[in-house]
Amino acid sequence: MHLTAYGKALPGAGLFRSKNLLVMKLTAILVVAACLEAGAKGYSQPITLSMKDAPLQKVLSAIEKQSGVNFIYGKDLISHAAPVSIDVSAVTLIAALDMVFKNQPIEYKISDNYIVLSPKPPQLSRAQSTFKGSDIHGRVTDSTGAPLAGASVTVKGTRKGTSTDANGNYELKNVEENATLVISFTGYIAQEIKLNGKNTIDVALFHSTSQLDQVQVIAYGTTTARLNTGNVTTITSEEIGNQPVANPLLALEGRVPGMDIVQQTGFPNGGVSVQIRGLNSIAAGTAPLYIVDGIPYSTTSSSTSLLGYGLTSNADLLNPLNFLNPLDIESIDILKDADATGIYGSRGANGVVLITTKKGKSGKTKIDVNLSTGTSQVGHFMNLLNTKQYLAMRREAFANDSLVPTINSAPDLFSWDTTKYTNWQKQFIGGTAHNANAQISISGGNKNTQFLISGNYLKVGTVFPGDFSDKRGSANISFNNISDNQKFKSVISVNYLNENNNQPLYDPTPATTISPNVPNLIDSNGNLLWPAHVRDNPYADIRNSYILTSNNLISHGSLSYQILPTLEILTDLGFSRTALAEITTFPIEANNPIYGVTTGSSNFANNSVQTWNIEPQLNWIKHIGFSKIGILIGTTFLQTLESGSVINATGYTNDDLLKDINSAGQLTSGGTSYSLYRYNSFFGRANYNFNDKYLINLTGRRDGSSRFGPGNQFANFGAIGAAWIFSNETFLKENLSFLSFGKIRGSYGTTGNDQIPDYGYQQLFGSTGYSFQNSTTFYPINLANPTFGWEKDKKLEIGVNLGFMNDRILFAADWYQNRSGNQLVNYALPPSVGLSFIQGNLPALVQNTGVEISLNTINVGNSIFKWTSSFNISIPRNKLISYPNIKSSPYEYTYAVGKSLYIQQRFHSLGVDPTTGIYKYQDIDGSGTGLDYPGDLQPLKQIAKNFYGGLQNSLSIYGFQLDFLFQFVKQTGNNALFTTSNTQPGGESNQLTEVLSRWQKPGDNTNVQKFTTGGGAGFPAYLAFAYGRSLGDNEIGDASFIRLKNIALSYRLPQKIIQKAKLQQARIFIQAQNLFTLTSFKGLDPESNGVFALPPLKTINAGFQLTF
Amino acid sequence: MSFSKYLRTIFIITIILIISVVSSCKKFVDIPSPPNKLLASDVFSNDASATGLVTGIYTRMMISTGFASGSYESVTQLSGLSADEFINLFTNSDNIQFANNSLTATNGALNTLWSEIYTYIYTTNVILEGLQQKNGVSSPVSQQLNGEAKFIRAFCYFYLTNLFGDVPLHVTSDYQVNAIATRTPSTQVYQQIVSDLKDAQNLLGNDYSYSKGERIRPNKWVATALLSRVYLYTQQWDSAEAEATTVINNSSLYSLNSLDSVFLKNSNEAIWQLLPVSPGLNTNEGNLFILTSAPTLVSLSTFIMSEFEPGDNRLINWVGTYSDGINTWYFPYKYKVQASSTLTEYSMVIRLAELYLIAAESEANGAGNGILSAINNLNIIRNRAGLNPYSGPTNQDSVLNAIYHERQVELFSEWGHRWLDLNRTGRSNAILGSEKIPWVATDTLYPIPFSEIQNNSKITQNTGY
Repeated sequence: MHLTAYGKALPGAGLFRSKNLLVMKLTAILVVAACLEAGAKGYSQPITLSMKDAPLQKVLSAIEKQSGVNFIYGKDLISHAAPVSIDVSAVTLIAALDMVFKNQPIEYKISDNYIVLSPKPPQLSRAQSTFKGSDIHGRVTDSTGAPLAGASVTVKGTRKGTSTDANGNYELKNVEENATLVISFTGYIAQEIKLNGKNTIDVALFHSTSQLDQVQVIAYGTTTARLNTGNVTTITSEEIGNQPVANPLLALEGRVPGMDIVQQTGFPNGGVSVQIRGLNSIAAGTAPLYIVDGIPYSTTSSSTSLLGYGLTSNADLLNPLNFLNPLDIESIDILKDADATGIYGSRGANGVVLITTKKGKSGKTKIDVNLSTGTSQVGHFMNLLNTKQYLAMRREAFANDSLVPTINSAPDLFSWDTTKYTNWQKQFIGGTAHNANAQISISGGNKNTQFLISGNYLKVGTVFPGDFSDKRGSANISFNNISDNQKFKSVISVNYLNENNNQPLYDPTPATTISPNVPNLIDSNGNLLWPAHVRDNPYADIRNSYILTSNNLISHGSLSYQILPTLEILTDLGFSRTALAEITTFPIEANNPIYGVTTGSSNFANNSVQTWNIEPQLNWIKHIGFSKIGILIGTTFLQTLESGSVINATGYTNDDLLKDINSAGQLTSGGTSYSLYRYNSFFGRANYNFNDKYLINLTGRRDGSSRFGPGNQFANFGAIGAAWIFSNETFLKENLSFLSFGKIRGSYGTTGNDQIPDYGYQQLFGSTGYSFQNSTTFYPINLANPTFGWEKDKKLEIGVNLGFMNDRILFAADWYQNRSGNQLVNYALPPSVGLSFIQGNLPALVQNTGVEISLNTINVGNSIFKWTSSFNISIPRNKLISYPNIKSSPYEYTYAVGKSLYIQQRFHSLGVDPTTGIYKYQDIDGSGTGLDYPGDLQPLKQIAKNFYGGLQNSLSIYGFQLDFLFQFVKQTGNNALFTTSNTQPGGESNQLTEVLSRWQKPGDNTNVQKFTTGGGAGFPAYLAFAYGRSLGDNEIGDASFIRLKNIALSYRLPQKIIQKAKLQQARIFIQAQNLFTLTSFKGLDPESNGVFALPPLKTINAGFQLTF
Repeated sequence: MSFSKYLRTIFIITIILIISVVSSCKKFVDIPSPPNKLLASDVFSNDASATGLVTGIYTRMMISTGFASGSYESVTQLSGLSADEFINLFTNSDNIQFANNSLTATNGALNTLWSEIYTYIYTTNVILEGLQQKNGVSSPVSQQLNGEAKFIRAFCYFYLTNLFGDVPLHVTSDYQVNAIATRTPSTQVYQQIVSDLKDAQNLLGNDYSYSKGERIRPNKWVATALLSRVYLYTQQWDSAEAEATTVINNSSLYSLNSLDSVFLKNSNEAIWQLLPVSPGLNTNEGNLFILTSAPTLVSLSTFIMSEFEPGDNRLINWVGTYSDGINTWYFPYKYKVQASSTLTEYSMVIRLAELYLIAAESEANGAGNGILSAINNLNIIRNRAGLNPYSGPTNQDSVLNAIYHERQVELFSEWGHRWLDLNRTGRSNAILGSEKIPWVATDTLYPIPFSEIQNNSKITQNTGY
C-alpha cells in the first residue's frame, strides 16, 4: 500500500502556539488528496492498540492494518505531530481515531474507505471559515494621534469583532475583502471604513459633539450618557469657569436636576447646603459623598470648625469644598440612582459627587493665563420704615398698650434725635466687595508623559465696614505616565490650597434693623461711640473678628498594570489633609466702656482632618463579538482621623496682640477633639453590553464601618441597572427615523448611611477642661448603645432618554423612589436621663419620590451662529411613610406620618382678629386653657421646595459667546415679617414697611397685628407675635423666586490677531452672578430665607484669558 | 524607563501589603477608644480619676451659667426673679417670663436648669454604680466618693422637688429605665433625699482634710446642714432643730463672721462653698450683681430694699448702689469682687447663719426649747447685723413672721431662698399676688420643661401650664 501526498506542505506542530495560529493562512489549510488505492476491511472492524510514545505514522499504520482503511495526509502534517500513547482493546474505528487525534493539531474526515487528515482550523475562524478572507490590522488613535485603548473594531453585519490594545492596535482575522469595518469608542464619533482589499486600516476618531457622547465619570470608570445605565449629570469645566464663584458647589445651582443647593450666606467660605433627591434621613447626615479624583473627601465639616461660630453662626457649616479651586476642576459628575451609586454602597444613600481635577494633555507645552477682577454687593435691600414712620409706630404701640413712654422705655422717642435717619442696611452690609482672581497653568507632554501645573490666587473682600478679606492661594499639579510597552500607567495629582480668611465674628446683617434714629455709633475716624441708651454697638460686634487659616492638601496616585490584554490590576492611593487654624478675637475696644472691661480675649483652635485610602482593584474587560463584558472587583481601606484642640486666651491688655497666644494673661484649654473613623469594604461590579443595545450592570458591596459597635459593623449592599437602547434596533431605525436616540433605563438597589458621630456605641467620659485643686476633672459625655446598625436606603428609578433630529433635541425624564428605613438618629431622650441624646435606629420609613426632566436643544447650529438651550426641572416629594408608635416617640411634635419630613407642626394661624387686633390661633385640643403647647400644634404647612430647576441658554456668533442661566425655585419659606426684625412691630427695632398695614381699630381686616411694645396691656399681643415667630404657621410664607443666576459674555479674539501676538488663544469675558431676582419675598433673600443672614451677593467680574 | 520600573516595584509591594492587610479586615474597623476620652472602666480604675468625676460635678456647677453657678441662669437669679428680690433688666424673653411669673414649658433657661440638675444626678448614679462594681478605687476614697455622690444627689433633688413639685426620681443610670419613668410624688422624693443624706452623714469625713482644708467638698456637717433644711421644709421640727443644733454646736469648725468676711473663701461661717474655676473670675454672683454701670441684667427690687430695718448693717455691707446721675440702682454686694484673677471669694452654698434661722423656726414651731430659744437664735443673727434684739410679741405667728423676715434680709440673693420660703410657708399668693401682676396660684411651681414631656410621654405637666 502506498501513500501519496501532494500539495503545499502544511504547517505542523506549531499550530497550538497562538502566534503561528494567527499567522497561518487559511488558504493554505486544506489540501484534498486523492486516494489511489483502496482496501477495505470496513469500519466495524474492532481495533486494538497498545503503544507508548509511538510516532503518529506508526500508529496510523497499525490502524490501517487492523481496519483496512487508508489515511490521506500531507507529509509535514504527520512529521510534526506529537508522539502517541494509546492503550485500547476492541474499540470501534471512530473511538480509536478520536483518541489518537485528541491531542493532535489534526482533524480527520472519513470518506468511503479513506480517512483524510487535515490541520485543525484556528478556533476563531472555524465558524465562518471562508476561503476569500484576509487578515486586517491597524491602529486606532484620537485626532491628536494618541492611541485609543479599548476601542471597538467590528465587521459590519457580522459578529466578528475585537478591541484595540493599549497601543491602539488591533487585528482581525479572515475578513472578507469587501467588508466594512465599524470602529467606535466611547465619546468619539464612530467611523465605518470599507476595506476595498486593504489589509491595514489606521483610523483617527474624532470627539463626538453630541452631548450623549460626552464622557461621564462614574464610580471606578467612565462611560457616556448614551451607554450609561445609571443616572449621572455631568457639569464641565466650561460651565464652572463661567461663574465667578469661590465654591465649586455654587456653580452647580440650577444646573443639576435633583440637586438642591442653597447658599446659606454671602460670607466668603460660608455654608452651602446640598441635598440630592431630598431628605432621606431624619437625623443622620444628608450630605452626599464627595470624591475628588477617586479619593473620598471628608465633608463632616461640623468637625472641621472647632470654634463653630463666626462664619458658621447662621449657616450651619463651613463647607469644605471651599478648599478646592473651581478653576482646577475638569468636571463634576453627580450620581443619583442606585445603579450609579450602588458601588459606593454604604455611603451612597445621599448621592455621590465625583470631582475630577484637570490633567495635562499631550502636545505642545501650553501656558494658560486667566485674570479677572470684579465687585460684589448685596443685590437687594429691604424696605424698612423711615424715622417718621418708625417713631409713629412706636408712639402707637405705647398708646395701644396704655403705657406712657419714658426715657428708659423709649430712648428712641426721648433720648435720641427724632429727626435723624440712618440707613443701617447701607452702613452694615452696603459696602462693595472687590475681588481679584489670577490663574496660570502650564500643561503639555508627550505620548508617554503629560503634566499640568497650575497656580491660583483669589482675593475676595466683604461688604461690611472694616478691613476684611478672604485670600486664597492654590496649586494643582498632575503627572500622568505610561510605560513604553503601554502596560504600566501611573497618575499622580496634588492639589493644595491655602486660605487666609478674616471676617467679622458675627454676621452684622441682623443689626440692620436697629432703630433708624439710633445716634452715630462711630466717629469720623472710625472710633466706636457709645451714646446713651445704646446697649450694643453693632460696630463693636464687627470688631470681634474671626480669622481662619486653612491648608488643604489632596493628593492622589493611581497605579495600574495591564497583566493581560483583558485584565488590569490597579490601585488608587489617596491622602488628604485639611488643617484649620482659627482665631476669634474679642478686643477691649469692642466692650462698652461702662462695663469697665480692661482686657481682651481670644480663642485659638487648631484642627486637622486627615484621610488616607487604598483601593486595589482588578478590572477585566472582554469583547466577544457584539458583547462586551466588564468585571471589576476591589477593596477599600479608608481611615479618617480628626483631631484638634482649642485654647482660650484671656487677659490681653493690648488689642494689637490678640492674635499672639504668647501675649495672653492666662491660657486655659477649651477642649480637645479626636475621632477616628475606619471603613473597609469589598466591592464588585459586572456589566454586560450587547451591541450597544442591551446593557446590564450589577454591583455589590460589603461594607464595614467603625461607627458601629462590634457585631454591627458590616452590611451588604447591591444594585442592578439595565438599559435598552431601542433606537439601535433595526426595526425602529427604519420606521422612526426622526428618533435618533432612545433609551429606557431602570435601576434598583440598596445603599446605606453611616453619617453619624464616631464612638456612639461606647460610654465615654471626658475632661471638663478645668482642674479642681490641681486635679483633672471629668464628666460623662456619651451614653452607650451598642446595638445600632446601618441605615438602609432602597432606590428605584425608571428613566427614558430620547434624542430627535440627530440628537439636536435631547430629552430625559426620570422617576425615582428612595425609601430609607432603619433610620439612624441621635435619639432625643428626656433630659432627666442626664444626657439628651443617644445614637440609635428608628423604625421609621422615609420616602422620597420625584420626577426630573431635562431638555437640551440645539436651536440654531451652523458654523457662524450657534444657540443651544438646556432646561431642567425637578419635582421632589417627601413623605414619612411609617413610624410605628410615633405618639410615644420624641418626634411626636416634629413629624407626622403621611406627611413630609419638611412639615412644621405649628399653631394654625387664623389671621388677625378684627376685634382685638392680635393674631389668633386655632385652639384644637379643646383644653379651654387657650393655646397649648404642644396640644394645639397642627402639621399643616411645610417649608420645602415644590419644584426647582434652571434654564440655560448659550449663544455664540463669530468670537462672541453669551451664556445665561435662570434658576427658578417654587418653595415655601419663612415670612420675613417675623424673622427680619429683633422685636415685634412696635418694639424698639425697625420693621419692614409691610407693617404699615397693621390693625388699628376694631373692624380692620389685615394680616399684620397691632403695634405693641410688649409691656403692660400689650403682653398678649407680644405673646401672639412671639408664637408666630417660633410656633405659628403664619411665619411660613412663599419664598419662590426666579433668579438670573449667571450670565457670562466672552469674546474670542480673531485668529489673525492671535497669530500676530504669537498666542494660541485670547479671550475676554464679563461674568455676573445673582444679577437679579424676581420674588415676592420681603426679606433680603429668598434663597437663604430660613435665616436672617447676609444674602448671596451679586457679583460682576471682568477678565481675560490668554493661551500661549 | 527606570522610573517606571521603580514605581512598578512599589506597586507590587503595595499590592502584597494590601492583601496581607485584607486578611485582618474585621480588625481594621474595630477602633480603639479615643485618647482624649475615658471608658467607664478607666474612670474607676484609680482614685484620681474616680475623684475627678466627683469634683467634675463641682467644677461643672461653676463653669456653667446655670443651676448652681450664681450666674444669670442660676437658681439664685431665676428664683430671685420669680420671687420679689430682683428687677429684671434683661430683654431676653426667658428672663422676662421668670420675672413676670408667666413661664412657658419651652423657656430655655428653665430647660437648662432642669437638664443640668439631672446631668449631675445621672453622674452621681454613674459614680454610685461604678463604685459598686469591681474597681481600682481604694476603700477610704470609695467611701468618701460614695458619700459625696449621695449628698449631691440629695442636694439636686431638693431643688428639683421644690421648684417643680413631683419629679421623676432616678436612682439608676440606666437610660432605658429613666426614659420612661413617671413623676414621683414629692414626699417620696423627700424620702430618698433623707435616706441619701443619712448615708452621706455616715460615709463622709468629719473635717475638710480631703479638700486640703478648703470648704469646697461636702463633709458630714454639710450633709447634716442640708438634712436640717430638709426637715425644716418637711416640717419635721424636732429633727430639723436637732440637726441644726449639731452643726451650730460644732464651734471649732463653724462660727459667725463679721458681715464683711462672711463670703470670703473658707470663712468660718462657710459650711459648703463652690470653688470658682474660671480664670480671671471669682464668684459668678460678684460678676453678675456688682454694678459699675447701669444694669442690663438684674438689680435689687424696691420690695427687698424696703424690708431692711433702719440701722441694719446688712444694708450697708451687703447692698451696693450705682447711680448714673438720673437713676439709682441697688445691687447685692455680698460678694465684693466683680472679677479678679486672685481668688478671695468662693461661692457660698450653705452657711451657718441659715442654721441659726432653721433652729429658730423649728423652735418657734415647738421643737427644742420653744419660742424663747427661737428668739435667742434669731437675735444671734440680728445682733450680727447690728440690730437690736427682737422686741415684738412673743406669740408663735409674730415670731415666725420675724424669722421669715430675717431670712429674707439675711439670705437675700442667695440660692432662691426667698422663693422657696414663700412657697413652703404658703405665703406666695398673699405676698407675690399683691406685688406681682399677673400672678396665679399655680405659679408657685415651675412647669415641667417641654423637652421632658416631649421625650417621655409618661410625664405630665403641672397644673396651670
